[in-house]
Formats: sequence, C-alpha cells, structure tokens
Amino acid sequence: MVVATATVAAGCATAADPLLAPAPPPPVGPTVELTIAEQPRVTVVATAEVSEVSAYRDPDASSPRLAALANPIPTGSPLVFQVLEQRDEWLRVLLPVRPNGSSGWISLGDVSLASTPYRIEIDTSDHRMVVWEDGQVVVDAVIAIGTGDTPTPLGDFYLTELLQPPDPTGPYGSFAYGLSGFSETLTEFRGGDGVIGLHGTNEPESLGTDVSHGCVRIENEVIESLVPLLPLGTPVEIRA
Amino acid sequence: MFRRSSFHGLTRPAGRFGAALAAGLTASLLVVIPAVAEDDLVINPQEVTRGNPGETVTVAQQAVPAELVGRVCDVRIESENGSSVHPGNVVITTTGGVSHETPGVEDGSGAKVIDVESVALGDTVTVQIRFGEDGVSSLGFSVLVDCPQLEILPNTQTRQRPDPTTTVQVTTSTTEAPSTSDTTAPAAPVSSDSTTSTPTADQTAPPATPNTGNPTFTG
Repeated sequence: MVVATATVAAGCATAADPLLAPAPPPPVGPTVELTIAEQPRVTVVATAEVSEVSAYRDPDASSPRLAALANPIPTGSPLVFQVLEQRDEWLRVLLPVRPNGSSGWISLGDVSLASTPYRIEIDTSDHRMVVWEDGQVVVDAVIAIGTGDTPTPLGDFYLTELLQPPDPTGPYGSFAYGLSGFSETLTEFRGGDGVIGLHGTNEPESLGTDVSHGCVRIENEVIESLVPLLPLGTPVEIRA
Repeated sequence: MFRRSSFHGLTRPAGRFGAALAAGLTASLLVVIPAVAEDDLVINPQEVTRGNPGETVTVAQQAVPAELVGRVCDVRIESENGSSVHPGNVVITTTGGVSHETPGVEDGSGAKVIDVESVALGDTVTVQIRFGEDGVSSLGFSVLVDCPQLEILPNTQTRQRPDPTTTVQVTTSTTEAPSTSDTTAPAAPVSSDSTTSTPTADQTAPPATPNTGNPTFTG
C-alpha cells in the first residue's frame, strides 16, 4: 500500500520532499549499440615482380601451397592482387582462382605495392554500378547482369586485366575488364574458363535486364570513362 | 526501461577517427553513426536485467565484415559499474570460436574494469553476460574490437600506426546513478602486440593499360 501511494505521487514529487520523491529507477540491463566502422579504405594492390607467385594457406612457405600464378597472365597483363592484410613479410590477398572468394598468403618480396582510391559497387537487384573515389561517387550507371541460369556471382572481387577488343562494335564493346571471379555455372566460355567480365556492349538496350552469361555490361561511354581512372586491383563488390 | 538496440553495419568506408576513438568511445561512436545511418539494421533488444544465477545470456551479436575475418584484433572491454553491486557477473566475448571472460564487472560499487585481449576475429562477435549469485545485471560497459593499422615501410618492415583502421564497437549504457563509494575495482589491462595489419602503400596505382585482344569473359 505504501508502495502504491509513492508511485502515484511520483508525478508531482520534488527533490525537497523526500517523502514524495520518486522511487529510484530499477536497475536496467545493458542497452546495446553495435557499430561496425571501417575507415576510408585505400585499397592496396600488389603487382607481381617475379615470373611466378606462390600463394600459401598460411603466412609460411612450409604450409600448403594453394596456387602458383604466372606473371604476366596469358593476355599480357601483369599479375595483380587485392591485398587484404599484412603479417610481417606476408600479404593475405584475394586470389583470382576458383572458388570465388579464395584468399592466400603471398610473400611481400614477390610484389610491389601501390594504392587505389577507387572501388566499384555492383547491385544486381537494382542493375546499377557505382564507382567510388575516396568516398565520392564518380560513376553511377545502369548495368545488365547474368540470367537466372547464368547469374552474375556475388562477392568481393577485383579487376585483373583490361582488354581492348579489336572490334569495338562487338559484344564486349570498346573495353572489357576481367574480374578475379568466375561464373558459378559455366566452367568454360568461348575458350576461356568462365571469368566474369565488366565490359561495354553493342546492345545498349539490354541494360537494366538479366541477359548475360554472367558478365556485367555497361554502356560503352561509361566504360570508356573508367579506363583513364581505374587501376588493376580495384575492388569490385557485387551484391544482390 | 530498456532501450532498443541497433546494429550499424558499414559496407563502405567511413571517416578516420582514430584519435577520437582513443580519447573516448562515446565520441567515436557519435562520429561513426551518421556515416553509416543508411546501413543501420535495428534489432529487438534482449532484456538481461535478471536471470538465474550462472545463466548466460547474449546481449549483443555483430557480424564481422568479411575482410576482417581472420584478422588478429584487440578486443577491449571497458566497464564502469554504478552503485548497485552484483557479485560474480562476468562479461563474455566470443569470436572465432574463442571466448574471453572478464570477471568482476559488477563486484563493487563504482567498479571500473578494462580488459584487452588479442584474438583472431571469426564471422561474428558475441557479447554475453553470465549472472552471478543474485541473477541481476545493471552494468554499463563497452566492447571495442580494434584492428590496428600497420604501415608498410619501404624496406618492408612494419610499424604500428596510432590510429586504427577498423573497429567493431559494442557500447552499452546504464541508468544507474554514479556511485560515491570508494570501492576500488579490479582492473586487468592486458596489452597485445598484434603484427597483423591492413597494409598501406605510398604510391598510387596508375590506371590499367589496355591490351588489345579478344576477351573470353562470360559476356
């Protein structure tokens, strides 16, 4: 009964009247706010300085070797990696091999390092590609992606090569970037091994649709605007 | 009353705030939130005011960005108890299959605890409280997962930078009034010497040079 009275009177209590002072608040459990915060990421790109780069499971040459990658790659581009982290004389890098998302440790002595402020975000649901430079949008474009049978894979990739097709009016348009990712449904395509590309198109009407074998198509004008900007190793995040 | 909890997931970089982070968790949080607002995911809170003695309840869980999974980072628990005492309560942080216990967080009125542990991050960071003998918790505390950045020097040696590149931060608060007790708190800071880092490079990569050729990409 006393408790009930105090509770009712609490609304007009003052500090000077201890008899009418509100009851102290009951203890409460933690109020939780979770934040993941990431600094402006200047992606570090490792470019091979040797003819072959070995990638290991651990930052230790005695651990299992995951891949041995030739430099330059068959099309003549230098072998590059997106660097994820460093541990002493070792770098953990994304590997341009199947399965998608593979990473391994390479020797710091096998590569030279440089940075890129660029980053590409691809949203397959919205059929849009956004290119960021130091947190600023520099390109926002409509894209075409893979069909339901040959979908564009989701994940974190990076640019591995840049090709200029001899015929700019062909299906790859005026330029074509190769990505470090592969089709999840095609293991071979036109003599290649199913590498996902980011390229122009001779079918601009297809933009905004699911029409490709997994590649990402953009307008020729857009990709031509990227060529003077993007280094190999630029990260490409493909999300649904 | 129990305030609701929020997950702030960042999919893109935010501003550098290493100095603010070192100065105070609250300040750094204020810097971060506006930059990530569009990525907020609000979840329902879990009341943990009371439970059975010895019971463990989860108060927060956060997915770790893919690029941080496997990184060795510092998990820093800081707590400051209010006036009420709840002996035996333990904060448990778990990631990568490894749990770290911080005891004594509410053993004394006004108790302050700082505990740092270096761990390899898993897919998630989970924060739990295990109740002591009275089955009550009213703690305000924060858990900061700090992945320091190392700088690559030209001779390939590394050194630690003063500002972290990435944080996974868990902050809690309490409504208890500050204690006027002289009770001293257990404090067991443990420093770590992580050698893992996100590298940097002094040179900027040039635009890619196109090679002429017929692509074989999945067009």
